[in-house]
Amino acid sequence: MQEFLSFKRDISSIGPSTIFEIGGFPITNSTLFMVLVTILLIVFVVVALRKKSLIPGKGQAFFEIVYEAVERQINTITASSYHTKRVLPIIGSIFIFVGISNYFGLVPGLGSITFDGKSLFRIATSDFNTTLGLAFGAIVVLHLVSIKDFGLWGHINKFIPIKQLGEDMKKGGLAPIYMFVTILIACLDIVGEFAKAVSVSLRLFGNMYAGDVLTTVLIGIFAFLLPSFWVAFGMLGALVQTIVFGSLITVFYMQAAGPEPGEKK
Amino acid sequence: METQYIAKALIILSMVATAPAEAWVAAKAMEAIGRNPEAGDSIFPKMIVAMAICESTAIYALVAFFII
Repeated sequence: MQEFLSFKRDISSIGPSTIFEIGGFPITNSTLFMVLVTILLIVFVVVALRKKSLIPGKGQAFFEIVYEAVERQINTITASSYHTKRVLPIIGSIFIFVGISNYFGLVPGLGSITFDGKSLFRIATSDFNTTLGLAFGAIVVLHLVSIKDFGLWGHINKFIPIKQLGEDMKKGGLAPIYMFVTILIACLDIVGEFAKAVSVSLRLFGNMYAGDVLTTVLIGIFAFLLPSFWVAFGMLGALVQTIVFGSLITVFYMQAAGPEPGEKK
Repeated sequence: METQYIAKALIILSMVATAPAEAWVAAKAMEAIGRNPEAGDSIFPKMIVAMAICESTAIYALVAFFII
């Protein structure tokens, strides 16, 4: 009876498994998944937007809904159309990629396509390499934005206030203590930049991987009806994690970016 | 093998504070929306982001739970 009601499955490993190598560069199953998602997206976009019209067809209407939803979400955080327009290409792509990857986790049987005993596709966002790469890339872009807005000197001064340190040096008295504290805080800020990328990516990875593992555990306990509630909750979770990832990157952008041109400092 | 289970139990204990923290964020956000329903659209995404930050400790614990 127990064997009939439950379905035992191995809990997927925490890292991706290498399928094959190209010149020493390992192609893992999450890489294959990313390629699949990218190809599907490109094909879908090209087919849906083949003929653009003022009165949108079904495909075009879908993309307009997605675009407007992402734009509205970013706009509630930036609260300025200039910043929204500027940041939309990169954060919008992150939104769409992460969202589609998360929702692919609900497609049944995707993990069952195996090659050489390893599953051929692994949900890209439940692999820490992908999420860390996305977050780190986004943080690098935000630093470039900051350098563009404030100049290289201004950007360095945001972390290590060299100008203020120079002024402090001329003063006597307690100034060395202040300088010491300022340098400590500067070190913390620099570590904080890395911590940003790590925390954002760990959050997405942890949620998606936990969802995967919990599904396996629930199927192992009772394979009927019970996992369906978890899958329904997973649909909400996939959306929320997409919004959180994108929103946090937008919040970091707002910290990094300069004021709108024409706006008084 | 047994120490591993003790470590896992301790890690789960670190998740205890997350639920009250998230509940507090949600409660305050609901209060704010109740007081000023028009601001709901702007409060909701901020609430989600704040909750995600509260949740991060639990997520680190979860990752550690799987790694051990």
